[in-house]
Amino acid sequence: MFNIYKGNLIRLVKNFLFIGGCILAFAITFTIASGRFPIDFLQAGTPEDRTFFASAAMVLYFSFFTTIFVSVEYQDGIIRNRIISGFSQIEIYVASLFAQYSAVIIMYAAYLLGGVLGGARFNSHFLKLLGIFLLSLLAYVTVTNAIAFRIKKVVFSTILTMMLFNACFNMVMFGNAILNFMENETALKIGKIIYNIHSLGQWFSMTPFSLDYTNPGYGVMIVLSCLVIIPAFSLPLIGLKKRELN
Amino acid sequence: MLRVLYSDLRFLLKHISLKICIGAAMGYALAFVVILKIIMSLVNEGSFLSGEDILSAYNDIAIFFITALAVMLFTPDFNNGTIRNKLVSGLRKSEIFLSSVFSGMIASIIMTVIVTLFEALLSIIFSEGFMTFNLAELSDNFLMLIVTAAAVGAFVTTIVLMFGGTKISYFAGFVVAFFLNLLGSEVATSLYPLNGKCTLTGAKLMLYTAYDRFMPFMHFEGYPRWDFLSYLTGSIALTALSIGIGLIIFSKKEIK
Repeated sequence: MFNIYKGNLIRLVKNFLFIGGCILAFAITFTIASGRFPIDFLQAGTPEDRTFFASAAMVLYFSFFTTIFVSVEYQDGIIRNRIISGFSQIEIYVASLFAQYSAVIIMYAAYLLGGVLGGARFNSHFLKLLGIFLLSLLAYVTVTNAIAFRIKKVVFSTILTMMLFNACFNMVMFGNAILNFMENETALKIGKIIYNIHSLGQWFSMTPFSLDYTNPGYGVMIVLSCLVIIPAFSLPLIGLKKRELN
Repeated sequence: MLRVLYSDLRFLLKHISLKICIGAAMGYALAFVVILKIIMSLVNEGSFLSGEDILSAYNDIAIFFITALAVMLFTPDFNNGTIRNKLVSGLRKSEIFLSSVFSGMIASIIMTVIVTLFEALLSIIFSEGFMTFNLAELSDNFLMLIVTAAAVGAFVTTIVLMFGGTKISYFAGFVVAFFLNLLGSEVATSLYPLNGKCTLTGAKLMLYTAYDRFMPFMHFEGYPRWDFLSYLTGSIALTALSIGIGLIIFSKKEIK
């Protein structure tokens, strides 16, 4: 399995979409963190706040990058070749997931570098936010990787993941408008959990623009990310060994 | 040209993508109504659903559905050799491009009309009626939606065709749609703030107003705010621009 992971990593660092994404992550974060971005509200607040605000772009990026990177393996016959070489589909799936996790961590490093050069300074609160968001991003990538790995067709998996991103975005917008009016305590708690189950919700809850009633607490956010990772990792394993590859 | 247009139209009407997208959009509208009903019962017992709320369900996400439809209909043409076969059979690139763009516009109109009629049906069943608009205004809105859908269909089909054959074609339309959505929200909230008056002045105000008035993507944001001629002008301009730029790029594009 390590060999497949290594092969994926080599393919990853040579991928022009990934290299371009990392350069963009660095450049955009640097511009926003240093207050040079030409939008008024992105020039307010501290460099740490602005750096954290920029992190949401990675959710959009991994909505299409993961599907393009994974689905192309089906088109090019990479998966079939690996099966011929004696690897099981489970090994290929796990290696693909770890390659995506590595992609997230590399891009996160590029993003942090941009933030630090733009003036952000690490403190315990900022590090806590970054850690929680990283975990939620890993959870999101587990879902997009699962979709790409099981659907196989690049057109459908891209559409599904882009729609997933849009649904998450709309849930944040809708949640901001509706949660404030919830009078029932139980309904509000359920609403907060739905709002924060995905990385965009957690991101917005942790930005300085967030509304108090959307934040369920940092501990709950960590638990929610873990609760997403477990089924998103396990469900694609069902019937994986028996499926047909064209 | 007519031969390929007929073939493309026949293809899109029989293609499963159109049915999937229409089904998904109708499912979305239905889910929107059900979820809104549940939330309203939790939030406040006195609140109710109006016909206008239901009619806005598809509008909010129409750009994404139209993009999905264009991606599903036209990206496979580059991978399965359809474009190459059309070229071999003697068609010019410009004819292939124009035929695809017209097909994209018609597919977008078909989907918008069916889903809007479905929303109207949902409004009759689930809402307390239309609170703001009368039948004539709703008909105007419907006409405006058709024109807008055609323009947006031409725009996203052009994007898909321009990047066709590359991985970018799968997601470029969605990324553009997302940023246009963000821009639309920024323009709408700046021009029509929920609290207080609009604080924009000078060139920024003119630019935002022109964008709100003429850009077809803004026509999906809420109810008609401008006259039909403005919407028609904006939609024709976007369609002409998409076709013009797309023709230049597609003609120079190497088909693998």
